[in-house]
Amino acid sequence: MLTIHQDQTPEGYTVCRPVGELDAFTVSQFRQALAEMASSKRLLIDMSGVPFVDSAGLGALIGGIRRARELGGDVAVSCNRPTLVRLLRTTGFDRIVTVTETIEEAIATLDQRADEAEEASSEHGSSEHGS
Amino acid sequence: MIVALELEVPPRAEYIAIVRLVVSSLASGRRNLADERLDDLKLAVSEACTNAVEAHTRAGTTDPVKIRVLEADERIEVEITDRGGGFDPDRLPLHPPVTDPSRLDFERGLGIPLIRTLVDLARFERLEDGTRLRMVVFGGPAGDGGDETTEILRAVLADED
Repeated sequence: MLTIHQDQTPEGYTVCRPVGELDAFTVSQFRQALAEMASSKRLLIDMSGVPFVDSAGLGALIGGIRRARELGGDVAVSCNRPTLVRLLRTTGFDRIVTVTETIEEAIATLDQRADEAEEASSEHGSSEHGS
Repeated sequence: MIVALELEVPPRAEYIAIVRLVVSSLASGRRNLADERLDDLKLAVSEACTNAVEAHTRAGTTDPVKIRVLEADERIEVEITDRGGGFDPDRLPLHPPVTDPSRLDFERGLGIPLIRTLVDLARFERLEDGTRLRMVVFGGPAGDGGDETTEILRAVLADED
């Protein structure tokens, strides 16, 4: 069975944390949850609670990432499970989305990208980010 | 070669987890199978079962999906037989273009390339009323894995750049 936790961090990140196995049986739940979170400006998907993912799960993950990006958001995936990290590498998944080991690293990556985007788009260069 | 296991499950998605658990716990008894290969086999079995269940659903049959595991010293074989009407694995549709709304369903197209990447040998046999997939994993250290799926994903996601 799959449970999906959703959190908001004080920094304004939406964290999606599925817990359980992700396959054809459970995937629709995951897909729906991601669709609901797709409008988040910064979405973190933490796969550390998922011991098994198959291509249905990967497909849902990609669909969710794509939708969030289409709506102008940025997405990162964190996962500390070697089996899943290896699958993400084998399938080339890690080349289309940032994959980090911890949520903290994922936040840092998204922060950095947001700063870079701001610098690139701002002629004044007046970033007000305190971090 | 001995038949180590024969299993029949209803063609419903909730049974996929049971099949992969049973097959992987059987395979985990093999001394010469590295953990990574065990993960590969488990995933391949899950993909194959998913395809079989979907084929039965499409064909509207409630006949069971059949799983058979054969073992020899140097290899483990998993056969998954469906009665879903059959298909030609060499004539799979390409993934829909990224502009097509149905692209979000492309996980279906990812399963078979993934199976081919994960196991050492995957052979699809067309039966009169279905398909038999035979997957072989040899004992020994894990390989690097193929690059086929990477290519597929790259193609599907090419518009990200």
